[in-house]
Amino acid sequence: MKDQHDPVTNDEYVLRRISNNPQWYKLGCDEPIQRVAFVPNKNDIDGISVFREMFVTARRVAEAGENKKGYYVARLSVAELENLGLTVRPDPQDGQPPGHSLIPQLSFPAYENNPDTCKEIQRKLVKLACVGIVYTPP
Amino acid sequence: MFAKTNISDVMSRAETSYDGSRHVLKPDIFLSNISLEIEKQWQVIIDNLCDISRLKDNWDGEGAEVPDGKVLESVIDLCNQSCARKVLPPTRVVVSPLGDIILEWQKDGQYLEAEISEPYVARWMLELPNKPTIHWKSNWRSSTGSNINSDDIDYIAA
Repeated sequence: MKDQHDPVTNDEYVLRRISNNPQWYKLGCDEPIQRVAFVPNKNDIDGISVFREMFVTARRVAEAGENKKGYYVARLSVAELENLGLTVRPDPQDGQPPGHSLIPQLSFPAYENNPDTCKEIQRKLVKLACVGIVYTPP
Repeated sequence: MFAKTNISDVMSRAETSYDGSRHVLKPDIFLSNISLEIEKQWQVIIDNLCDISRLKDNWDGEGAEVPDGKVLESVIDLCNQSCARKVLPPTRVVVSPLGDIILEWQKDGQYLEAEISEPYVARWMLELPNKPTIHWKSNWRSSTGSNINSDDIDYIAA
């Protein structure tokens, strides 16, 4: 059994919360998720958050978020993230569900310094996430 | 393709806007209904922008910022100008965690977005199937003519 601090391997899956904000997930679109779901906020200095599926359920990840409107949760393959040039770094945190990890290539500084590259990666993540929604808000 | 109205697309939507009845329309009547359909869709976008204008800091519970008021005003101005010119309405408008406004168009595997983070300036991204993504920046004039943008400055300098 792995520990949360162990390196993430490419046979794993990670879960990404997608805030149920207006229009961020729009039913009826070919791609219902908007790429802003992968835009860091200014506190995401070390990367955007994901959770290792082997340590936590999608429901728990969604319910631990602070957004009152709730969350969708997308399941992403680490191997496919690696194909996009992304890495997943373990970052267990008190006050977060187990398995908290970071994608450092999509940190706020990375987005500020290289927005066009980050936007293209976010668009590719949208395509992966659109076929990997495993939880929808009640 | 995106910047101007795709007439066949609008035509099909205009037909369905007649409760499913497809009858031959006089050209002037048909055009007026295209205009109404476009106007209706742009109005939805402007309504969404008005909702965005009412957001408070930390609106997502995770530290998201609100858009700058002048940015919002400029986007609403762009929407009004685009509606008047019968530009194809966006699929949606969203605000990012950083307070940027994004107008998005999706159609047949093509994707276009305009990200506005400063007044009257848009950063565009266009994805076409099997082609490299392209990015560019442009600005537009205020309908009131009150802003001076870089195009104007270039013109004045010339």
